[in-house]
Amino acid sequence: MKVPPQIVRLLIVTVVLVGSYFVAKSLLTPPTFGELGWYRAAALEELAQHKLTYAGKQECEVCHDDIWQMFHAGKHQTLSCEGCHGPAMRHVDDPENEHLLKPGSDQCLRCHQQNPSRPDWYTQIDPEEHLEGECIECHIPHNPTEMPEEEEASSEQ
Amino acid sequence: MKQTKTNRREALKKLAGLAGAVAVAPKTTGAEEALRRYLFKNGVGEDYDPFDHKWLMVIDIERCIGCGMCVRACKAENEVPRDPLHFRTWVEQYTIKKADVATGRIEGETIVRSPNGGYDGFPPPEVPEEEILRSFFVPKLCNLCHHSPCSQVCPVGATFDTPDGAVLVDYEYCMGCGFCVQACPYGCRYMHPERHTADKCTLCYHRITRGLKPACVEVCPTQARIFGDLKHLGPDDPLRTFIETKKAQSLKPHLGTEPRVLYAGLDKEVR
Amino acid sequence: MTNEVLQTAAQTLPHVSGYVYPNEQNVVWSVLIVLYPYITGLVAGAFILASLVRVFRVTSLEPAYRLCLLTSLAFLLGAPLPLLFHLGHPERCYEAMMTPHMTSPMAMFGFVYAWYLMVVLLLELWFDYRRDFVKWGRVTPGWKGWMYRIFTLGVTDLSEKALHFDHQASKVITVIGIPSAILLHGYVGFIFGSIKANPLWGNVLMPIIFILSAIVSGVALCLFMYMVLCWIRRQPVDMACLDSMARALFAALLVAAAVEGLDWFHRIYEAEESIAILKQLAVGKLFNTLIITQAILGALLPLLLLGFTLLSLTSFFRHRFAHELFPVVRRRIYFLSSVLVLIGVLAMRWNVVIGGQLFSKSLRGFTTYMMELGGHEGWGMAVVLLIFPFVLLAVFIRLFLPEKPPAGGAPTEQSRPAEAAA
Ligand code: HEC
Ligand code: HEC
Ligand code: HEC
Ligand code: HEC
Repeated sequence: MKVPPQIVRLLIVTVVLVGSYFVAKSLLTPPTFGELGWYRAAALEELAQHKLTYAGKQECEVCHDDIWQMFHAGKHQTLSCEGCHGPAMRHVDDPENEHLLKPGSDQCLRCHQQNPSRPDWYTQIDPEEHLEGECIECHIPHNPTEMPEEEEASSEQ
Repeated sequence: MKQTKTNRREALKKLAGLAGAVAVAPKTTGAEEALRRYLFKNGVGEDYDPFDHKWLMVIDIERCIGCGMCVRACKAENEVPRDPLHFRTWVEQYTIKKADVATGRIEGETIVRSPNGGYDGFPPPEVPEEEILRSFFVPKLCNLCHHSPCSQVCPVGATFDTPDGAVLVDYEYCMGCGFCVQACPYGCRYMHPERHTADKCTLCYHRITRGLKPACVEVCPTQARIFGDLKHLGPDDPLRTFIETKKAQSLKPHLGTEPRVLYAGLDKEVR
Repeated sequence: MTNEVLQTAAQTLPHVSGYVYPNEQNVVWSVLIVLYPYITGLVAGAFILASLVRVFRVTSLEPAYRLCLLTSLAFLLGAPLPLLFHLGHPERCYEAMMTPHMTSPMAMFGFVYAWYLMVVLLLELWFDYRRDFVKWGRVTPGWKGWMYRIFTLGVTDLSEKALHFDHQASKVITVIGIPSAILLHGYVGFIFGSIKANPLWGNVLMPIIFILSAIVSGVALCLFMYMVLCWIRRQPVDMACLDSMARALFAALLVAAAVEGLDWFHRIYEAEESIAILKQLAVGKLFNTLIITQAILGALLPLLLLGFTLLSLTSFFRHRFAHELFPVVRRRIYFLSSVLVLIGVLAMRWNVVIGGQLFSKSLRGFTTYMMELGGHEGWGMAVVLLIFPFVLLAVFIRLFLPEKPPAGGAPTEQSRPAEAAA
């Protein structure tokens, strides 16, 4: 039996379309796609290159050895330096020019203000009732249970 | 740039993956994964093998003080938009009121809030203290689902589960359809307003591949967030202690996503 | 510090009530995603109506057959546009075809679409039109003639045998086409139905609800287009054809409304965790679009109107009252019903797509969808994208549905009671 001309034409069109799909697919699929799973494996490396903003606590020990010692003797030892001082990667790279914040009492209260949502084990104060003044007048931030000595307090600007 | 050690089966699989329009995404099983290696350079130029790690974060609700340091750190570290509409991690404050005895219920209304995601810390609940039955904070982040619905629905393979346990978005490949945002039961995804792609917690992939902790874990003052590598658990790794001693739960377990982020001390009201 | 916090707490976005996850405050899928299932639904529905002619031999529908197919084609070509414009990176859309992720219902879009466009609609039209293309190509001068000649793909054989083959082939394709149309729209329903994270969407009935409402809207659109076309051309309307379409519309609407009603009944009766928020949603944020527009105006009212009118066509009624409703009245009622149904189904898409994003997955609060006027996802764009298929259809009608069909176009006689002849 003769194949109807319609079918012949349509077959040609189909072959052209499907063929161009596969050509496009082989050209447009990214090189590392599918190496690890249904994704571009190179994306892992790309995402890993993102720049750091937080240096990590261990970086500080090298240059701020004194504070580090004091810090880890006190009750704030579980804290991160950068929690209070803000992201420090730029400071670590260039300490002379990139300065960090010295947090004020609002930072202390952020963590210590009385709040019924906070767990009971955690030390909280009511700022209205607690002693007047900036917190660091009476607490060394790096070792909060200690009182700062007079000259130490004045030497910090 | 990268060296791949592939055995024959893998090479075949790779071929199939590239050629077959109908090939289903190869999901490697644990045993296969153990054999594999795939090295790439991390941010400081060292070799990193994603098959050699399985990162995990767990959360101890009892230790969260709601300071919001993690939210801040996350936004700064990952260039998350600063507006109060986009968060990779945020903290929720739950306040459950005492019940009116007449209603016969155990507890009253539950009030949840997360002002600016907790970025600025939390004021005490608006409910007067004597009416509060219990109140607590819950940090939220990507739940690192074992069966992640978000990567399941991605039409192009732009979001995926990495061998080392993160769920990432390929910003160069994502076409921004938003399907994954809809599919995430935990509301952990958003469309990045500048990048116009989906975005989510990467577990700070650039940090963990360098051997650092994720930013939120780094700044957490109370170790409410515990982070570790399941494939390299030391004898007194906090993660090991957590897994071995805490009775932990996951969020929305009925959805079968099997989150790997576990919460110790999770309240039933938390959703 | 406290002040700072209280300020942000107060500024927590006026459009949010209760608690929603912070990332949910913005609605991600905009009105464009409302249009997308709406338009594909029209495609599927129009095709299924056309298939009644070929496969089920509802000959009374013959006058509207080609119109249905062309409507289907015009809307199919318009369907991907809202999706495309909504993408964050439209230029990357090809990826969905190059690296389709097989576990994603959305990855199937490209393939289902291509299949439906090329294998079903275009082929069906081609077989149906080939004879006309050959004939018109011979007599039409200029670019139009060229176009017709190209569309023949060079197959100019008009022998009895070839035409018979065309006819048979077109039948076969319609048979393939029905499941394809259902697939096309069922899969759109599955896009939503598969989202287990969302209690409004994640539902086995979703694909079925989508298919049924698609048929409803497609039939309504064909009815509407047929009347509008006749009106523009000042042609008499074929009442038998209209009555048949109205019957199809009524039947489809009845089933669709029943299934959707069942869905809500089931939800309310099962009263799972999510029901509280869904109820609040239905009577609150969605009151106007769900209860008023979709249920009352879009389903109940047309059901009553059509039901009553069709009742008047039954022999029982005619026997009692000696006359059916006058054609003028019937036409008005059909027209009104089709418009109502079209609006109702649009509202249904809105309720699913936007409604599903208005409540939090924490089931504790609502956000608001704030639609802008301009912008690439605003009202303006939506209107343009909704009108576009109609413009396309107008062009198609100009080119492929000439006022005076060439010999053999078989306009049916009036007043033949439309029975599904077997
Ligand atoms: C509880 C919050 C807090 C933490 C945690 C903290 N600091 Fe500080 N730091 C402060 C405050 C407040 C000051 C300002 C003290 C002042 O002005 O007297 C300060 C000042 C400093 C200074 C300047 C001291 C000077 O004498 O000028 C250095 C250096 C410093 N911190 C380093 C560190 C390092 C390193 C760590 C981590 C081991 C750390 N900080 C952790 C709150 C903190
Ligand atoms: C490379 C050495 C180095 C490292 C690493 C380093 N610092 Fe410093 N830091 C300095 C020096 C030097 C100064 C004094 C800068 C000045 O006074 O101009 C300083 C000053 C400071 C100050 C006082 C404010 C200022 O910027 O002058 C703070 C706070 C501080 N460092 C915190 C940190 C923290 C937190 C880390 C860990 C992430 C850290 N530093 C790591 C060298 C370092
Ligand atoms: C990032 C949160 C955070 C910040 C900011 C912070 N603290 Fe603390 N603080 C803690 C934690 C955690 C502890 C240890 C837990 C405890 O003992 O209750 C602690 C302990 C203390 C203690 C000892 C309480 C006790 O057990 O006797 C004092 C005092 C204290 N902090 C004062 C301060 C002062 C002053 C500041 C501001 C410079 C400050 N804190 C800032 C988290 C913070
Ligand atoms: C005038 C000095 C002074 C100032 C200013 C001050 N404190 Fe204290 N603070 C003390 C002394 C003394 C104690 C220990 C006695 C006590 O338990 O009340 C103490 C105890 C604490 C404790 C431990 C409370 C407990 O129950 O163990 C915390 C936390 C604390 N202070 C935080 C702060 C914060 C935050 C600020 C700033 C808003 C601040 N303090 C300001 C003197 C001060």
